[in-house]
Amino acid sequence: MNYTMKTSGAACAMLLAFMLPTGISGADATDGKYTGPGSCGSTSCHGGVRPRSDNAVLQNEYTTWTLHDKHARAASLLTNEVGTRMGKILGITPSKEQRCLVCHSLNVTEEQKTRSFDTGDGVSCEACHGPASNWLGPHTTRGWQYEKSIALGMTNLRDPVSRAEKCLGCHLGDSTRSVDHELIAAGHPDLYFELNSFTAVMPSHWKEMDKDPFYDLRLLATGQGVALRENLKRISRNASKFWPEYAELDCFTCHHSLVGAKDSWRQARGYPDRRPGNPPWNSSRYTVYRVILNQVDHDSATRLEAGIKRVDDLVSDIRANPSQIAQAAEAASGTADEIAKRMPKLQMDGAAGWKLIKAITASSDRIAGAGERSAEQAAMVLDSLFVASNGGAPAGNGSQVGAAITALFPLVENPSAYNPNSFAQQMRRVGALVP
Amino acid sequence: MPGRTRTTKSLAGRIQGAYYKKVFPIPRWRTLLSRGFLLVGLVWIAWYALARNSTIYSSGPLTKAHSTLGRDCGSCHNQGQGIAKTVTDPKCLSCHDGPVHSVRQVSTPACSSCHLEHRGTQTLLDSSNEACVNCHSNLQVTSGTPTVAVAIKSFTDGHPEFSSATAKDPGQIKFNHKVHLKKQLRGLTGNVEMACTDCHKTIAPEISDVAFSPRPARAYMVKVNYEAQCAKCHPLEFDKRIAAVVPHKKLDAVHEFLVAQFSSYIAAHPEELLARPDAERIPREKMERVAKDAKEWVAFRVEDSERLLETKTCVECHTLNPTGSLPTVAPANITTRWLRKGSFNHSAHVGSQCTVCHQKALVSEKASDVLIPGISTCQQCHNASWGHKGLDAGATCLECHQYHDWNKEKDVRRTIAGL
Repeated sequence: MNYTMKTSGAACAMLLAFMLPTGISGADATDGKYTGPGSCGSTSCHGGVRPRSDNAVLQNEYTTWTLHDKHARAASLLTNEVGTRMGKILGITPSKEQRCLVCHSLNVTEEQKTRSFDTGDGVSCEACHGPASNWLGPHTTRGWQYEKSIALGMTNLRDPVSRAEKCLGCHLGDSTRSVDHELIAAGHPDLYFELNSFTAVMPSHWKEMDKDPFYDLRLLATGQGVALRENLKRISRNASKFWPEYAELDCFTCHHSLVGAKDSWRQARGYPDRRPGNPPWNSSRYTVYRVILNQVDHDSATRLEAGIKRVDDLVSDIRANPSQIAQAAEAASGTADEIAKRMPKLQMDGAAGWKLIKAITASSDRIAGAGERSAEQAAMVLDSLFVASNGGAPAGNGSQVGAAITALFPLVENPSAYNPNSFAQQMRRVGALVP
Repeated sequence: MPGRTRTTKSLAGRIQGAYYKKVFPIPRWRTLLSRGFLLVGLVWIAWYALARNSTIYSSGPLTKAHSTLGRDCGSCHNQGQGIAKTVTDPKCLSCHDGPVHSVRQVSTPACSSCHLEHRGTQTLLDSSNEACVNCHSNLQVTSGTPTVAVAIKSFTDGHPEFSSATAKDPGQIKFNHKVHLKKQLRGLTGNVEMACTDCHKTIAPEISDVAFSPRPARAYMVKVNYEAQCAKCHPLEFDKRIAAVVPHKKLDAVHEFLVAQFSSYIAAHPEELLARPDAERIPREKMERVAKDAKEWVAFRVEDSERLLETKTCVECHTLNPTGSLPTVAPANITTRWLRKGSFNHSAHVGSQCTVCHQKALVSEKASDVLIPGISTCQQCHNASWGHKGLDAGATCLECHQYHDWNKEKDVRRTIAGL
């Protein structure tokens, strides 16, 4: 697992030289070691039971994590019934298997630890916040700034792009972490992610430092943008290794309940964009984002469209040349990266959120038709947009909108039985309630 | 030639004829006085003898400890052998126990070879090192091999390093001295700076494992105690709803406490049973458990609190061993006395900063670190070279060691006649 920080070389070193009190060596930010979750959880530090108001941070982060956050139990999944069965299928011991531990624990070597701690603690503090040895001591001192910790190797999770990257490292995968069709076949769920929804459910253990009341809208757009970029990079990696990697395709094109031909909505719809029999790309990281981008940054949306179209066409063609796929995805990921980095800087207000809800629901047929994964992405995004906008510019019938959005979720409860027509219909109901 | 004037006759005339019959004053006084003083002496002695007062024969005053024996020389000196006879061990042992030094020692000196009476001292102890070094500079034992260093000539010559200083702390409390002593340590309500004495206090009147003869009560540090030293910054909070903290007791008592707290809480706040988690925001993920009744609610909350306590709060300091339904806490094993063979008195060193000797405390990150200083630290002041840099705190064996093995002490109760 690669936990190294991206540093900006000389600038960072100079910054360090100014910031470090004398006596602390001007260590490179990347040489930090991991101190384990126990280093953070003292009651006076981050282990209180209720949030403290006299500080910039809540100071009950550890408690929230250990009691309510599934990350704290990530390692236990490796030894539960499903985990054990997966181990048997794959011929591995999940609790000792790098392929599993890279995401289910704070997976670092003994040399990277300052003291012994166990992978059984799951995804603990430093899995996201970075190795603490260089900033653990100084960061409790009076007047200490977050930026000083960043300079000493803390991951900057206040930056929406790097936060989204950090989540997606596991929730989508990166160069060292992946959930492929083999893992899914053995029992691992397919990965899906929406930054705001997952943050709320985690639940978040922090106060946002950006006081923009519509920060969540910018965060949402950033989450979408980074997810697409990472998806494209993953396609490129997979196409260079082993193709077709079925995990890139829409699961429920194949995995669905079979009904008689006359009752099949698939056949009733036909296959307008691809050769019948070719499973299509799982475009859920694009379908909804595309609508958002069209609203907030039309030029970027247009620039992205062509590159994505090529990826979509190639991935959805089972006979396509993998190296072409890799090249196309790599090219598109560059554009996606550049656009994703613009997302945190968007100017958003309450009206923008409602406009986005309206636009997404206006695209109901296209989104619902793109498959179950796109539909559930739409449900989560609509829900997050509703939560982020509701306080700012009430549409008058806010609670009805909320209820209509909530009604989208049962429609994706059983993905194999997903029906795009009913989902599109419910999306239109949502849209009709928004002025 | 002149005529002879010095004749025999004239010379003889100078001597009185009956000179030997005459009594001259000086010899007379000599005789008178010598006989007179003898007589006075005899009368003086006779007087004291008649008064049965023997102090005039004593070779010096008695120590305070023995002052109750009064003038009864026979309490210590064997009767019938003359008043100058030395004191033999049975006389001492009739009142005192003198536990053996070592069962394997090759010779046992008489009590009186170290415990000198009539010297006007306060302690009855001859504090010279010679008695010890006689054997310990070339130690022989009656069987087997010696268990202590065999060539100790003084504290600075041949004395081994303290065994505890090179051992591992048997304590099982996780503690980081460096963090607790750092500037701007994060406290519950802002930053604090801690001093050694915030936790280490010498008011230790009852030290259960002191095997040696009684020492002043402030010799050793009292065992660090959660309620007194830790609770202020490490409260045992367990749930955001309840301000109380769990008792610092065994986990079964904690369990009972939690059940009682949550039971009374839900009885007072029944509306919480109706609370439902926010609408699900992720398809197919059910995040919160919903309790069907008060009993289940209590069970869920107790389970959560115990998870918090057992995975975070308790293990911040303790090691928990999984046993049955509740884990057991590893015994703290806090050491009160580090120098097992020698005694030490903190109160005698009260003029020094703690870190003058315990320098390692400033940088120690692990509880397994032993933070007592090594012998070289002691030797800086306790050395045998008199006047060495003005730092001679004495270096006799008896500064730290006792001859008798008081673990083997037997109770010898004798009533002194007349008291």
